[in-house]
Amino acid sequence: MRAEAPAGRRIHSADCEIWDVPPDAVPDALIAVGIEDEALVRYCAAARPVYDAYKRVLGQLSGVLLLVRTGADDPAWRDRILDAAAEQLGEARERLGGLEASPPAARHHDLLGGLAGQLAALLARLRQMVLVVGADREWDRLVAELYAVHRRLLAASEPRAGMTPVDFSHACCSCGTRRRGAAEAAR
Amino acid sequence: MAQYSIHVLEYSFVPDYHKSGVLYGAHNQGYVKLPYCYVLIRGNGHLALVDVGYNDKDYGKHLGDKFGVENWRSPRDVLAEVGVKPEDIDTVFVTHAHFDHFGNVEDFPNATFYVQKREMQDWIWAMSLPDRMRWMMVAVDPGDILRGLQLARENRLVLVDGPMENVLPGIDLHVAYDSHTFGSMWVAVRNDGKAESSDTWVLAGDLVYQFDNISGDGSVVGVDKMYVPVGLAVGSQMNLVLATEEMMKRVGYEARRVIPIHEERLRDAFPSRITEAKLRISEICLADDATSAVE
Repeated sequence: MRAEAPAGRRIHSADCEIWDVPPDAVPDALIAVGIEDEALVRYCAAARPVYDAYKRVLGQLSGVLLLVRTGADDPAWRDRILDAAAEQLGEARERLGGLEASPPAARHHDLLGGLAGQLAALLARLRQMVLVVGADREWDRLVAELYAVHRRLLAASEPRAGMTPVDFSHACCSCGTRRRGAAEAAR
Repeated sequence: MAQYSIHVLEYSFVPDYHKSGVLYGAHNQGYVKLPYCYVLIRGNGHLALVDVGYNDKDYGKHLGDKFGVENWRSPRDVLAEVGVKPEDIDTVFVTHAHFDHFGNVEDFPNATFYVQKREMQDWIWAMSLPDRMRWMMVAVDPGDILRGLQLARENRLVLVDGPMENVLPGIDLHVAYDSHTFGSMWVAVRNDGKAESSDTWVLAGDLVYQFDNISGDGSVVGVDKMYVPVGLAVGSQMNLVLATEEMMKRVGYEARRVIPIHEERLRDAFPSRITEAKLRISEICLADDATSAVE
C-alpha cells in the first residue's frame, strides 16, 4: 500500500487528471491520443455511438438465443429485448447515414454500414422464426452469422477512439491508473 | 478427510490498481497490486475451475496500454504448472460475466459451464437500455455472450436459477443478487463431504476482492473490524455486505476460509510459489491423496 493521502483529501485531489481528461471520443480526447486530422476526429467522435449500439445489439441477439437454447426464455421478455434492439439499430443506422466520412474513414464507414445490414437481417429473421431447440442446422447458421458480425465488429474497433468490445470507461475511478506514473514515484 | 485440492492460479496482474476500486470509499488512498486469477478444484475424479480469465487476443493490448494489465499467460501455460491441460477441465463455475472471469471459454473445449440465469438475463437487459445508462454495461463483452451462446449450442452451458447443492459432490453454488453484478455466484466446497461441514472453503469470486473486504478497519464505527464492500457494484454495497455475512456464516466465521482471488497476500496466508513466468500459485488445501504443487 502506498501514496496514502491525508484524511482530509480523500476525494479526487486538485491535481488529479480526472478533472482534465474529457470522456473518450470527444474531439479533445481524440486529439490527445494522436488522431489529429480534424475530419477524422469529427468522424470518430460521431461513429463511436454507432459502434456501441451495434455492439449492444449483437449482445442482445446472442443473449436472446442463449436463453432460448438453455430453456430460460420468456417470449414476452424476448419481444421487449428485440424491440429495444430494433430501436437501437434504427437510431444507429440513421446516425451513420448522416455521418460524413473523409477518405481516411471511408473503409471504416463502409464496415459499419455492412454491420448494420447484417444485424438488421438477423433481427428480422429472429422476429419471424419459431425457435426450436432441436433445429441444429438453423442454430448453427445463426451462430455462424453472429460470429461473422462479431469479427466485423472487432475489425471496426479503434481503442484510441473508445471503440472497444468491452466498455472500460468506468472500470477505473478516482485517480486510478491514469496516474500510474505518480504511483511509481510514490514507491 | 479432504476430498479436493484447491489452488489459486494467477494469470495476469495490474501492478498499480487504485485502492478505491477494491475498497468502497477508499478514495486517494493509494494503489494495490491486483492479481487476476482463477481457481482450480481437483478431486473426486473432477477437474473444475472457478472462472476462466480473459483472452488476450481481443483487447489485451488495450488493457495493457490503458490499465496497466501485465504479464498475461494462457491457461495452457498457467495450468501446466500444476500438471493440468485445458482439455482436462470438465467443469467451470463462472462467478459472473465480467470479461476477466468469463472471457476465455474457448480454451476449455470439454468443460460444462455453470452461470447464474439472472446474471445472463440482466446483462442482456442492460444492453437494451439507452446509451445514457451504459454504466450498467461496464466490463462486459458482448462477444462473451456470443461465446456463451456457442456453449449453449454445444449443450455445455447450464443456467443456474438460484442456489444449487452438490453440483459436484460436496460443492454448492450460491448467489448474491444485485451485488457486484446482477447475479454474482460464489462456490462453497464442503471438503469433508458432510452436509454440516466443518471443512468448508468459499471461493468468493468478486464478492470479496481482498482480505480488507472481510477484515476492514472498523474504527470509524468504533469496532475493531468490519466488512467493507468492494468498490465496484452494479447492484448495491449493502448486498455485498449481506453476501459477505452469508459466506462467513458458511465457514463458521473463520475468515481465512473465504478466498478472495484478487488478493496478493494469499501468498502469505497459504503455501505459495512464484512460477518462472512470475505468476503466483497458492495452495489453499490438499486432498488426502494429493501431493503439493508448490513445494
